[in-house]
Amino acid sequence: MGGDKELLESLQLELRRGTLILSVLSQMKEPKYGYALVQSLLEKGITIDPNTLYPLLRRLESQGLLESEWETGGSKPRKYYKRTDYGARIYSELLDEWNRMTQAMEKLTGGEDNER
Amino acid sequence: MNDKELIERYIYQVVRRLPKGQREEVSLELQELIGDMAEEEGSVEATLIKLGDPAEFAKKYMDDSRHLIGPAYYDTYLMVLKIAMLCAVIAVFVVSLAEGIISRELWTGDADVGRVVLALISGFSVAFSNTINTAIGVFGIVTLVFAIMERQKVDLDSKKGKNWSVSDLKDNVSEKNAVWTPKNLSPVPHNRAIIKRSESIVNIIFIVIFCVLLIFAPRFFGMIVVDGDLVQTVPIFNLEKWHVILPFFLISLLVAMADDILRLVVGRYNLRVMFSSIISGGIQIVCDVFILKVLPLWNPDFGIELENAINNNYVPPDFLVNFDTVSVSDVILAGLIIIVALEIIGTVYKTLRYGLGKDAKSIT
Repeated sequence: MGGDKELLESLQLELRRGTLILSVLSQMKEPKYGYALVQSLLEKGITIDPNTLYPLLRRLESQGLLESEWETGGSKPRKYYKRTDYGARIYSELLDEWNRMTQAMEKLTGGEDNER
Repeated sequence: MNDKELIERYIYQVVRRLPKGQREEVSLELQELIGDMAEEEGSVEATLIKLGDPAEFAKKYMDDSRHLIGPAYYDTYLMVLKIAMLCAVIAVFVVSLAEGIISRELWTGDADVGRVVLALISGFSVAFSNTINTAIGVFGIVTLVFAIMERQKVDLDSKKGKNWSVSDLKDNVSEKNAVWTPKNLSPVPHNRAIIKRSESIVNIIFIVIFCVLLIFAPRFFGMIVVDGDLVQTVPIFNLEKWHVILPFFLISLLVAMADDILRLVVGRYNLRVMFSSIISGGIQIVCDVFILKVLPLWNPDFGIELENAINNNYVPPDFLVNFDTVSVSDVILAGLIIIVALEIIGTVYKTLRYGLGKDAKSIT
């Protein structure tokens, strides 16, 4: 059924969406511009569409988790984002939550008695 | 078309969909992104294909406000919409049906079956078109109000907090207590303490109908005289002084309506409903006394107008021609006071007996 594939995709999307903010925040200790971030995430196995990432960066900035600066020195102007102190604090708390979750998920799905 | 032109067009298609304040910055960002991606992808065209439909792209920038009414307001919105719809639609339907049927032109002439059918048809067509217009209007207004609340992030939680602590008057839970604790759970009301929604809604509908008639068609209250090819209404109220009388009617009705809305929202007898019932009953009685005993409510020329309208073919009974306004007022007033008093007594009884919740179980 075609519906199965669609459902699966939308569920995967939902699953991924929750981890996206964490993925982005994890990379933002040092200033980075958007596309460099896409690539550094890709290298580590996280695929994110630029047309999802760029709006997300703006949103995180408006929430005060990131700050940005335009670098006009190079061949073309680039906007560099970086975690704020507030962003760092939130990130570390999200990370704790993530670790708790992965441990719990491991228990739920990883054991031998887990049926697939 | 060269690459530069292509990029410009693409960016324009994205940013024109965004709020003005964001356009400049976003277009710089996109410039950067497309430049970076094009180096990777090999060509601008491939990059744009990968980025996809600019309209979809723009939507992602607008993610925060892509709903008109969010989940926080949705339930309340639906409830208010249903109630407002029901009240307005029924009220308007009834009033415009009556108005359509009694419209004058149709009745001048012999009142044969054909004319009656015509009158009914005209009545229903007016009623249907007015009702549809009203429904659309009510839908629009309610939706608009909630959309504005959504944008302004009006805090409905304070209201929810009150709902949680419905019995707070006796449980001494502060209404301002924003933090929910199981203590603010009001006890499940006794069956007889529950106020049926239908009751309140019917009341509200009748009040709305009455208000509309009093405002737009006070002539309806009167004697309808059919004399051959002429239909006349002789108003029973003093329409010359109507601008003085009407406000008191409306105050009384609106107070009653406020009481019914409170009943609808609270949904059970409790102290708040009881006090509201007593206060609104009191205000209604004061207004009624004022209307019936102080204001010149009755049409002073009713008898003469009635005799003129009837035109000697039939002599109306004497009590109609010279009706004694003072005693009629007294009888009506007494009736109204009894109705209000019964309502208050009923509410107080049910509140004290079933509504306080402490002995809900022992009574069943």
